[in-house]
Amino acid sequence: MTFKKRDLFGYLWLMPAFLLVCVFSLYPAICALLLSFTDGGTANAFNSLATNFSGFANFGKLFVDTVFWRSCLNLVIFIVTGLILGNTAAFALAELIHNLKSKRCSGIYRFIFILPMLVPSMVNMLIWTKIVFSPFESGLINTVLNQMFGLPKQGWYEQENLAMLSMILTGFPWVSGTSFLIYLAGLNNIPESVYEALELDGAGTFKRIFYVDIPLLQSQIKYFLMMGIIGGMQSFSMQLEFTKGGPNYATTVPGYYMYEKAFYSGEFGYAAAIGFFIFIVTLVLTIINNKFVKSTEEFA
Amino acid sequence: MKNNGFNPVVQSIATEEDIRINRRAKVKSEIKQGIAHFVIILLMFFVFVPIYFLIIKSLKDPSQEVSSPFALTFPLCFENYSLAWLFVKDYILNTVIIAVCQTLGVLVVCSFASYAFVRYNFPLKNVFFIVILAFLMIPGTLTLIPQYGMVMNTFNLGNNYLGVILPSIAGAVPMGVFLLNTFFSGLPKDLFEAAELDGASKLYSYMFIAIPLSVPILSTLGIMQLLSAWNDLLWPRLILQEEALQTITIGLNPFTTWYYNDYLSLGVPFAGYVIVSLPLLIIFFFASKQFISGLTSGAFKM
Repeated sequence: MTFKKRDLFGYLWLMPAFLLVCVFSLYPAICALLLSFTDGGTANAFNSLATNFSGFANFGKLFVDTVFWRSCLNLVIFIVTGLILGNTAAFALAELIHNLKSKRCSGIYRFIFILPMLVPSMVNMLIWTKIVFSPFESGLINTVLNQMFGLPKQGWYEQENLAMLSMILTGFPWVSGTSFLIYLAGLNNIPESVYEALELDGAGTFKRIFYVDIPLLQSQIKYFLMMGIIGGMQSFSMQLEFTKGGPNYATTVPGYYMYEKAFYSGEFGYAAAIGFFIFIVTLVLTIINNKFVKSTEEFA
Repeated sequence: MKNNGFNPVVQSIATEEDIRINRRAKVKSEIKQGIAHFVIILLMFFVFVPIYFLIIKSLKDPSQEVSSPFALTFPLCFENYSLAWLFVKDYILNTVIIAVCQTLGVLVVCSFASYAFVRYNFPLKNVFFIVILAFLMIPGTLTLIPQYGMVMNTFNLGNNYLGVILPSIAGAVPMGVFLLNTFFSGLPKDLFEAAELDGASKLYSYMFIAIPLSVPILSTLGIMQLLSAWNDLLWPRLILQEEALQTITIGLNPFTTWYYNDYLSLGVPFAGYVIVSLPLLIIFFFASKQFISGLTSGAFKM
């Protein structure tokens, strides 16, 4: 393959992004990889490597760590339920808005549904932990359950058998934000002629959704699957803010376990090993997703 | 609506039966529309629960919090807002500087890189692209410790805005490049080729063709970046130890805990968060049209 000389200017355009990524992401990632082969207490990769090299010991430890496997199981539950609930809700909302006849209403709804994005995440966390799922009798859900069914108060995030359920329910009805707009974009892209053909065939709403809309939204579904897995694998902000991974590791995930190891017990080497495990699994899942989930074929 | 358009005679003689069927179909579709509106509004109600609580709680004093926690109480306690303002005002300038620099930085750096990927054909182009995207998959916590050591010791950027801004831009590059790349690839090639035939430089086409046509996706990326910079807690708190440099989010976090433990109320902190969100709301109000059109442009797909 030959390249024109002037094409080399491309590197110049690429330079700022590439330099920033190398310095602030690539180099730390390499340090972290080196750290994962040490059992030292220091966070400096090169010092630890010289004094505390431990080979694959961290990875060996990882495979027999029951807390770690529990966290993996929790992660699978969180990712699967999150993907299903979030995507179903966003898709349903997109369908509802897409089929509205009034263009004005649909514009207003779009605007209103993304407004909650502006609520700072700290406020959301306070509202869910201190108000909605508050463990006290004065909590919203506790009050409602007590007055309607006379149920005793529950600890929600602080109660081992309910902590995970509470976290899954957090954010109900899972539609605020931008994902419904992305589905809406896909629906708007479906040519009018397809819908006209459907109408001639007398196909009902359900037929339309399952045989036309969903197959034609493959590209968007694939995007959400990819981002859901990538984001879900490393996310632990809810653990950090809501439950601290507890009670009794009921809600811990590998990302949080890594954070705990690095910042509470100072086992940087072990934490780095967990991080690399997360990276490798994410990479494999992404490749599988990319290979086997089809994108929408372009319309002629 | 059956396909009787081919036979004008049949079409012109609309029997009473046809009219009735037509009317019934109309009523049916109107009922469907009504149900759709109803479900949407019901969802909206739930989505607005956090905003509702944020506002009503910010207008309560601690005693009203006890007597009626879930409803609006009178008199409205505007004192919360004046107290919160005293607390928040010193942090605003810091937050604005960091958030604006970070957002502009991400937009410039990512659009440069994506432009290179779309308009140039240099050796190892795909390798560079894949390497940059692979960074989406590396957990932030993993790089946090070495990154912290590097920023503080090697670059000596502790208590420096740059120590927050530069790593955050680097962190946003993979996603930004991914989105802009999809969008730029969708721009008509003929435009660029025509401009080049007329002797326009690549820089000229970037500034006067690529950027103006990409305002929607740029505002989507910009607003997302602005929000995350505004709300970021972990990294800025590590870098900015000196109180005079801290952002609102860093300042409000311990204040909220302290206030809640003392008064079992969230009145003043929530008033603070409302004040903090107002600038975002104003920006959002003006940019929402572009923001939405960027999101619905089709760049978000694989």
